[in-house]
Parts: sequence; C-alpha cells; structure tokens
Amino acid sequence: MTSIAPSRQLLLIVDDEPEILDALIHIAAKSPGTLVMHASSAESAEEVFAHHSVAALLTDVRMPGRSGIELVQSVRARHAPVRCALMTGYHEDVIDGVRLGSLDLVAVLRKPFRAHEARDLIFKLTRVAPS
Amino acid sequence: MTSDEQTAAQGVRLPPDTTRTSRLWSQQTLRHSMEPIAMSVSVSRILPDLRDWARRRMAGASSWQSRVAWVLGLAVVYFLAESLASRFTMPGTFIAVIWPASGIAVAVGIMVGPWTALGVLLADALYSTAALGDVSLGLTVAAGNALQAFVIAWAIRRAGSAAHPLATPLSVVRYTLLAALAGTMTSSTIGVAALAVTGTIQMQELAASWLAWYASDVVSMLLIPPFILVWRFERPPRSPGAERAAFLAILAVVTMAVAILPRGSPRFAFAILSLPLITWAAFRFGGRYVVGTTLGLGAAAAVGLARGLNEVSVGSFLEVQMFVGAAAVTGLVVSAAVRRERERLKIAAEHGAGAVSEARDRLLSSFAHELNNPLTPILLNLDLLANPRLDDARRAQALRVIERNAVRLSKLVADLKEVSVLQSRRAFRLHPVPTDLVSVASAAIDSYRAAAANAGVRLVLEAPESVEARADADRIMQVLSNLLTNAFKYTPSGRSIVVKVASSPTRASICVQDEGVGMTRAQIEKLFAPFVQVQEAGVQKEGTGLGLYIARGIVEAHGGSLSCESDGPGHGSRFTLDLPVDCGERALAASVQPAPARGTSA
Repeated sequence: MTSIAPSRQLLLIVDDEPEILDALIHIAAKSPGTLVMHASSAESAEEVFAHHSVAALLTDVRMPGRSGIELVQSVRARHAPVRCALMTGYHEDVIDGVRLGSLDLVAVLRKPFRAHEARDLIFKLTRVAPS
Repeated sequence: MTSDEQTAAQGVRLPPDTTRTSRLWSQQTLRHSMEPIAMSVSVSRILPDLRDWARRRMAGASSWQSRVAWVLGLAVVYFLAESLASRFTMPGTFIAVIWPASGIAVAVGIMVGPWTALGVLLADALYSTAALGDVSLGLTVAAGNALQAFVIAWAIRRAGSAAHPLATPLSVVRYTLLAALAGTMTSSTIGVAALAVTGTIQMQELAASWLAWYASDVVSMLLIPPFILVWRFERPPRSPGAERAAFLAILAVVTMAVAILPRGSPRFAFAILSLPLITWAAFRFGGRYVVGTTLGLGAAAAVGLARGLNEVSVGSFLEVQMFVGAAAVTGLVVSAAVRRERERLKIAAEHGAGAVSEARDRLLSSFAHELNNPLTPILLNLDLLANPRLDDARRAQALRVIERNAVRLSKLVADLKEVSVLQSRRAFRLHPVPTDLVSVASAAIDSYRAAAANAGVRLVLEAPESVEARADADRIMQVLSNLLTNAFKYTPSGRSIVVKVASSPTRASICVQDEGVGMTRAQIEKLFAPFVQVQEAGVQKEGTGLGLYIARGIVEAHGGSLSCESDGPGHGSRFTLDLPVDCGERALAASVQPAPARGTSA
C-alpha cells in the first residue's frame, strides 16, 4: 500500500459509550483532512452510510442492537470501498463465531487503549489508499 | 457280587438303615477315599500364589500352556471344593445346601473362557468315579457337570456380560435366569438320568433327587460366581471404619447364630436379620460386602443344617435354599441398582462441576471485558490532560470523566466481590430470622423518598399490617434497593412505582412495579445474566450490570425466586421477589388482599 496526499475523507466513529466516543472525536478532529461523523449504534451508522460517502469506519463491537461485527459485514456485503477497524474489550481472535481476520480490517484496537494508539489507528484509516 | 457286597468288600462300614442311594453317597465312603488327597494339599499355602498367578494369566490365556495351566488349576480347585462340600451333606444323602464346585467352575468359565470346563471333566471324573464306584457312571455324571459349566459360561459371555455380568439390575436378572435357573438343569438332569438308568436310584426317587441336586446347584450359582465376580470387578465405596466394624460384628453374630444354635432355637429367625444387613451393605459398603453377606449366610445355613443332620427333613433344606437364594438375588439387584445410581450421580456431579467451572470462566472473561470499558475513557482523558494547550472547559470535563469512571470501576470490583462471595458456599452466609417484610419494604421506600420527589415519580406501598417470613433483613433490603434503583432509572417523571407485599400460608412476595420503558421478551431472557443492562443507545451506562445477577443469587439463597415480567416496550415492568415463609412457631400471616394503599406522592 502507498501513502497518498491528504484529502478530506469521511471517518465514521461508532460507539455506544458517549465518553469514549467524545474522546475519539476529539482525537480524530485533530487529524488534518479528516471529516468526522459519529453514531451510537449500528442502526444509526447505517443511516450515515445511506446518506454519505464514508471512507473509513471505526466501530465498537458490543453495542445495543446489532454489533460492530455485523455492521462491518454489512459494509463488506455492499462491496463498499470502506477501510474498517474494530474496537473491542475482548482479546480473542474469534468473537461471536466470527474470525476477525476474515473481515479485512485495517486493525483491531483492543481496549483499554491510549490516545496515541487511537491516533495511530485513525492515521492508518485515513491516510492509506483504498485497495 | 452285588454292588453292596463290593462296597462292603472294600472294608467300608455302612450305616445299617441307609437306603441304597444314600449308601453309595455316604459321607464315610467319601471320607475314606478322598481325605488323604484333600488333606495332602494345604489350601492356605497355595491360595495367595494361585491368586497372583490367576491375575497374571487371566488377561491373556491364549497360549496352549496357559490354557493347560487353567484347566489343571480349575481341576484341582474343583476337586477340593467337592471334597469340602461332601462334609456338609445330609447323612446318607448327597443333599447339600450349596455345591460350591459348580459355582467355581462357572465363575472361571465366565472370566477365562468356557473351555475351562475341561478341568471340571477331569476333576469330577476322578471324584464321581471314586464316589460311585462305576467308571462309566462317574464319567457320565462328570460330563453332565462339565457340560453345565460350559453352557452357562458360554451363555453369559454370549450375552455380552463377560466384563461384569452383574453390573446392572437387568444383568442380574439375566444371570439369574440363564445361569441359576436354566443352566443348572443340565447337570441335575444328566446326572439323575444316569443314576436312574443304571438303577442306582429308584424311579420313585427320581423327582426328589433331581430337585435336591438342582436346588444345591442353583444356590451355588447365586452365591459363588457373584462372590468371585463382584470381588474381581468392583471397588468398595468409602465408608466410616466404625460403621464397617459394626456391620461386620452384627454379621458375625447372625451367621454364628444360624450356624451353631441347636434345633428348636430361633436360629433361622436370625437368618431373617440378614435381609436388613444385605440392604445396609448395598447402600453403604458396595457389592463386595453384599455377596460376602449372602455367602456367609449360605455357609452358615449349610453348617447349621449339617449339625442337625438327622433331625432335618429334605423339605426344610429346600426352604432354606429358597431363602438363601432369594436373599442372594435381592442383594445383587439392590447392590447393582445402588451402584448404578451412584455412578449416574457421579457423572451428573462431574458435568455440573464442569458447567460451574465453565460458567465461572465465562463470568471472569466478561468481567475482564467490562473492566476495559471504564478504563478506556480514563486512559484517553488522562492523555488529553497531558496536552498543555487543552482549554479549561475541556480539562474540567476530562477530570469529571475520569472521576466518574473510577467510581464505576470501584463499584464493579465491589460487585464482583459480592458475586464471588455468592458463588462460594463457604463464604456466603445468610442470617435468616423472623422478619416483617412490610417493615423492610417500607424502609427501602423511605430511603428513596427524596429522590422520588426530585424526579417527580410517585412511590406507593400496598401491603397488609405485617407479613412474616424467615429472611436476612439486610440482604432483602439490598435486593429491594437494587429493584427500586432500576425502577427509578427507567421510569420517567409523572409516573408511579408501586411496591406490593402479599402472603399466603407458605409464601410471601414483594412486587416492584414501574410505569417505565418496559422490555421485550428477548431483553427479559437476558436480564439476570451478568453484565447485561437494558439501555438505550447513546445513554450513558450506569451501574455495573451485576445488580440483578446478585439480587437473584440472594433471593435463591433464601430458597425463593426473583422474576421479571413486562407487557412490552412502553408498558413498564414487574419484578417479583417470592420467598418461603417458614416462620416456625410464629403465627403465619393469613392469606389477605393487600391493604388499601399507603402512598407517598411526589
């Protein structure tokens, strides 16, 4: 993969914990050329996908309603060129019977994570050209 | 020369009033011819060696040398057993309570192979020929005994019972039918027919002779092979040494009484005492003690009858044999049933222990996952605070977030400790005392009065004057506080929360009903699992998700239940805490309708 020149890319952050969401928005907002939107559930995120061209998705796994894994699978089923990453407190490689390696993720961010780890991940999501 | 003259010519003195049959089978004849051989071999010296040799050989008796050794070994033991049993026959007859040789042959045949019946043929050919004084008759009788041993062993092994023929009640019944009742007809039929054909017994003695021969073989099958097979295949369960000593002492008294008390004394009444002893052994000491008890009973009966020989009729022998046989079958069936139940409970306990361990692992995994949620905003906001350019408003917000999640973490740890105490049977203790549940509910409501007023929620208590139950008041208060906290969380302003206390003669219940957001059936099904919270997206999680899990654990520790119902989203929820009353001598609350509401309005 090659780095490309920064351009405004839409990053969607999905998490049902308002305080984590708030902190991630604060970190992502400092990433140049990145437009940040947020949702607190997979259902809300689908509405964003329906109305906007999302370039990158950072989503929590455990949420009320559909999980972040199901959201990523839905994105993959639409063959949308979206770079995806998951946040999870689980340390297994298989969650809910799904091998995370099969989801074509940019990375999996294990909780608890520090601000610099979140920054590095957001850089990967917004600075890497889509395949 | 007649056969009587032949016998007399051998220098054997016969009792003058014996029948022709009894003369041929008399104890004196057998003693004179067999005693030197029997006494020349000391059983106590060779038995341990035989046992060790048998263990080494039993698994692989495939080579011809092993087979020859088995055949010869069985022949020796069979011969000795016949010699021993002949000491305990009725005078002038061949009638014995037990004929151990038959049982030994069958036990060996089941464990090693039916071909070992060749040893029976060898031993009994020698014995019967000497006893009957007729080679062809002796060989015919020996062939009948050998065929019986072969057929029974073959049938039991064929039925798939070689591993442990008496493992289950069904296999005991199968063994009784095949080995004890059906198979034993072989030897008695062939033997008695041969005796009748040669004129050794009269035709009018045929039925009685057959019955006596058959009955002693039946009893032998019910006592000897089970004793050998159970000691071979079973291990005794652990039981207190004192109890075992008491059992053996009582068994010794009973068997001694049966063996040595004279005619006219209640010696066979003592035999009846063997039945509770057999039951006691089956439940407490296992199969080995059961078969030991029945064998001891049979041996004592044989000795006892042999001592009163001239005074006991053939009919009495049959009654004793029937009793001993019935006691043996009863013991085997009960022992097999108890062992099977014990194995089933052991498997269930292992599965239960495995399930508990699995549940605990899942809980710990969930707890580790839940710890990460408050830790993440703490770490993120600590990193934000490290930024010197952070504005004051953002800094203050970061500090609040850190404080809130630190408190959340400490609650999580406290709840997890509570869960750990609940799951540890040794650590968790209730202190149930006669408790007025109405007072407890009233106190719980009082603690929420101020919060209710601020939130605009109406709190109502519907209860009779008092409802008594045996309960730990502090723990019930903890449960009610959790239910009320949840009710407040999901009940909007202007609505009501009603606490109802009711009772019946045996149960007491407390119901917390709210007019809040309600739940779906799917949400209710997961409600009492750890770390589950019903929440709306975007709403900050409060609590640890363990409250209801802990509350249910407390209620179930009281012997009660905690359940939840809801008519669906938007229609509120009802949590019902149900407890047994169990007040002892205190008067129980009568079944009453709840008293008119004593409400607290915001």
